[in-house]
Amino acid sequence: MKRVIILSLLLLQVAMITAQELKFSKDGELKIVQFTDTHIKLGNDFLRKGSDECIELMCELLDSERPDVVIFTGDNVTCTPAKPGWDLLLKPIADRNIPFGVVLGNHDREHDMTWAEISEYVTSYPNCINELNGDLLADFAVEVAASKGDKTAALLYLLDSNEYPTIDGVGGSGYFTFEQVDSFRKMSAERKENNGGVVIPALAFFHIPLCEYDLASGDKDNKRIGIAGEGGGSKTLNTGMYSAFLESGDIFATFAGHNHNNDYAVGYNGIALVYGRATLSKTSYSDLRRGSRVIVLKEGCREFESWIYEPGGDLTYPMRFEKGEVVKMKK
Amino acid sequence: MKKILIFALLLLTCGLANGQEVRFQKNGKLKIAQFTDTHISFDSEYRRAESEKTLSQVCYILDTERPDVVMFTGDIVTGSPAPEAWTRLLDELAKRKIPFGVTIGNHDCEQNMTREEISKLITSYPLSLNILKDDIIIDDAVEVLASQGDKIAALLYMLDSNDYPTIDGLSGYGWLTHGQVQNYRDMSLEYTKNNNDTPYPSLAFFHIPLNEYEVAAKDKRNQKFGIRGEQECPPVINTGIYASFLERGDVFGTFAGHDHNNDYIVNMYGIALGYGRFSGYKTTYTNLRAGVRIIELIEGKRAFETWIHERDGAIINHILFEDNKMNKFEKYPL
Repeated sequence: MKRVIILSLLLLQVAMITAQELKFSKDGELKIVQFTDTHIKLGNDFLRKGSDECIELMCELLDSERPDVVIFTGDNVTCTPAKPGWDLLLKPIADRNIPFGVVLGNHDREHDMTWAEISEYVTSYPNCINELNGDLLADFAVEVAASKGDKTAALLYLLDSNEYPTIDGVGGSGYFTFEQVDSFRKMSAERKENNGGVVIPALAFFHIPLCEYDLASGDKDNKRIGIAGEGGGSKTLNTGMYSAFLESGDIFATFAGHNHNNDYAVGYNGIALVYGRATLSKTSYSDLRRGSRVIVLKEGCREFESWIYEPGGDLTYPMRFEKGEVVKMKK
Repeated sequence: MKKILIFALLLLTCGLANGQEVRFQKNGKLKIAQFTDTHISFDSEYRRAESEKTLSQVCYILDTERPDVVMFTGDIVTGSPAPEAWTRLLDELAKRKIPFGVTIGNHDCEQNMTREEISKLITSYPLSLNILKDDIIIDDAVEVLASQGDKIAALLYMLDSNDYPTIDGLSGYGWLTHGQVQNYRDMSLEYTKNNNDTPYPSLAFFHIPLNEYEVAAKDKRNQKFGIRGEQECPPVINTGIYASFLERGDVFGTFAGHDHNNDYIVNMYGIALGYGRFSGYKTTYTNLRAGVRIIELIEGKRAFETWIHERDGAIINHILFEDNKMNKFEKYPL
């Protein structure tokens, strides 16, 4: 009996370690799947059917792509009661023991679970890579270890773009607060300092796109791959996060959601501004076929490959980001 | 002899107080003249002749409008010899005892004067409103006193929008750094705290327009008056000063230059984003006639009147900004 306990403890430990530590593969790659705007809703049969289709796609994709890590970029569960929704959403990830991170969207906190309750519940999964700040899911940098050794080779910033403007009379979507911009600048500077003054390549994930998405996408001089089916970022105030990214020099690609009819990637001053593909089925608006963005981060450089996975294994808009620009890729 | 000395001392203190104190008039108004992009240059005979016209235009405006304070929003002197040009210009203000503030443009430091030298020359005038720190004029707020008593009634921020990008690979123009944005946020918070948590009605002056000028001007829902004769040239990146103004709640009007063919003013979320009118002659590109933007700040509320005074005396686009809205005057009420 004692042996069984020890063995199961050992197994548990191993499981925890493998679950939480992100590491580049021997080939120097890290495969990330971005599920965005899953909009799980269970209010009636129609919505439940849509949510089931969303989960089916997620399972199919996870088995086909076998990612190293999953990131949810907001508007994940948008119904009351929310808890069964989160259970449904996270089960495929937990079953496969894949590490996952969560950022919240503007609609996640509108139901019968508070921000703190969602945060506690999400991080109760052993393979969750978020760390709580107080009792909240807050801005956080996840470390990715090098393929060899223990050094940090990349960072994945998980950032909370909030919900709605908090200034009277200002319309549109939420935005990063100045405190968050400042906190990012400090985090980034600290990482650089601890890395001998060398910038660590980093990606950022958040829900609401930056103003610069629209600026970049609207300028024909910038190469763009994918669908721009609606306006996006210019509907928010600009508190300077993009300029902080640029100045810090670590983040070279950002991945957002929020606008279900956009899935493009555009290079802008050496940073790739990218949308995920809305993973939802029928539970909110979308003119695009449901799918998800797959990202293959390369070790030791500011490059990644990416495509959209659609049901049945159709891979669309394959691209590569290199030398600060998005380039079409044959797949 | 003693009497003379005392008298002289008195005069001197009066002079200093006059120079540095900005105060609402008894009628509750403060008249500001914004000269922008004068591009004074004495480096060829042609440019000297054009610059003389600019200088006489400045004098004409000072004598007809008789402003309480003058703001220069950059690209003031853009040819050698720069000290002569600065002196000629600023002497006209000294002669008339008008306090003045300067924000430096992207072209001001490209002549035979460094930022430090320009800063020193400017602040050597007793009437200068700028403050020198480490040999450079820094971002600061001019306190405007109430018409009666010693309380502060309004603030005029003077911010340095810098010259050119400091990040590799970026083209275009400079921006307020994150440090400057933070500094503004600190200043503003401090003033508001000291005023029982009520933000002072404030205006901001700088050379390079903000990204939001373009965003606001292109959005037809926003009220806009004046000329949009060229694509705005804001910096490529946005460090969040406009959102900071909005959040802090003090600045409700901003006045820039830089784009010589624009003189519009556009209202987005209750902040009037304004250009001055190009105030120079043919020493640089321009399609607009030389002029000046006059801003008459109204005491005790977030309101101002503004108009463009052109070189031949024409007064156009007279607007009242009040209750977060702009209204045009049909006729200038002289």
